Amino acid sequence: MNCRRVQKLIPLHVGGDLRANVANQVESHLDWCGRCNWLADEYKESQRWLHASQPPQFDETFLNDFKRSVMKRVTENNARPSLLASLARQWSRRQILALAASFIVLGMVSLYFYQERVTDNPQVISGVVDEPPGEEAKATGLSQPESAGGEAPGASSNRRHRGSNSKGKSRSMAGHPVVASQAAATLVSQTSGTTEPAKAITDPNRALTGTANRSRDMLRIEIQTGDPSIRIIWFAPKETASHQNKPATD
Amino acid sequence: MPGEVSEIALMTDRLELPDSPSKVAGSVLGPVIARAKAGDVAAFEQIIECYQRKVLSTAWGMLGHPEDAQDAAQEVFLRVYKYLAGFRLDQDFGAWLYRITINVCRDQVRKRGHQDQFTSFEMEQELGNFEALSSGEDIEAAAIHSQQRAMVVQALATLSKKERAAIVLRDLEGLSTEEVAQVLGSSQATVRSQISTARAKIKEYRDRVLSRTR
Repeated sequence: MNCRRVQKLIPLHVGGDLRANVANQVESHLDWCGRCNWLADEYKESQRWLHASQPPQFDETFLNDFKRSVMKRVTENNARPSLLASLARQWSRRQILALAASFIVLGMVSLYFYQERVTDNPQVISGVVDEPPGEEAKATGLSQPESAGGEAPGASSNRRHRGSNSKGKSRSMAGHPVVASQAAATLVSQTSGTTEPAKAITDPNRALTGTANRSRDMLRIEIQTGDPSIRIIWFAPKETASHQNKPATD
Repeated sequence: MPGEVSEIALMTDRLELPDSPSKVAGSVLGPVIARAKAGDVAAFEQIIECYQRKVLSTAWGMLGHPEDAQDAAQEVFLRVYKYLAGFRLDQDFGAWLYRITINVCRDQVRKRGHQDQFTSFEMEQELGNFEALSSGEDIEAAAIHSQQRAMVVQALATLSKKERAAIVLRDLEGLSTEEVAQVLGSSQATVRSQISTARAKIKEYRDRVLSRTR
């Protein structure tokens, strides 16, 4: 065993933490190596120093006071059991497990019904809704918006929506005129400014009238989700100038 | 009953390594622990009497301050009372108690986020809790002893939490490496490594202090 190895083992050797055969090897090395022997003595001295300063000896009065204060706190804790502790005392483990299981089942059922409601709710607009062309034309006063040299901002925004969403959903919702018109009214509107209250556009007539208003420069688009507290609103610059300059093939 | 308690307390105080004190004490205290587990407050009081010195000294080694050690020891016994119902009688009660003590001390250090404190002689005198000071021992010797204790606390403060727990249990509390590994939930090799590093750091600290004073 060389010095390097022995010096690594000395801290354990002085505390008697080595196996007998290893300790014997270290001991025989220390017999002839002065440097390692000196290091071992240093460690032994350090250990003596550590053991010499034993923790403070607590006297009887202190220990009695300590015990009394612990027992006082134990009694206080017993007098005021927590809700869980009192439940645990009154109910058996089986009853608590049954209660927990019923809560989990109830939660899962609620989640299931919530999901169902969200899927069936026509107010949830995740795709594009096609307004019946006749209604929009009536409301906007444009019989052929495409051929008018430009398109109504509402139609333009609808096209934009259509491009980014599924067609199937659009068609299925368009099959329900009432739903579609309401949804369309909610979906697309052009308002005079950004400060108009959001509830104004829930009125289909007003919303569709707003669609025909070309004099404003901002397009306000709203989507009411299934959650009444969440409504997606965004503003886009009206593309009147670009539409006028666009070629007919666009 | 008080006679029984004092007898058990004496036995636990007298027990030393390598006879695994916690196990022997656990076997002697077996019926008392069983009674305390069943909710007998008097039996729990006996457990406190038997183990309070050990818990207090371990907490002192871990925290380095008598007041902190006292708070921690109180918390330890409250936790013991709280979780005693879940304690299996075939387990080693001493190891279980040490584990709680180490965990409480770690929690306390984390919660307070305090630096390790230097326990001055004046502080100990103000507390007036210690036998050495109250028994009329020579005040100069007490001062030297207190100063040395404070130096050890400082030396322990140079260790990491794990090294500190290992060295306190092994060198100050006198548990075997196997028991320390059991209490800390580590392997014996890990504990040996921690002990080796801790002893080297303590020696280094002591060398530094001595070279400064010379």
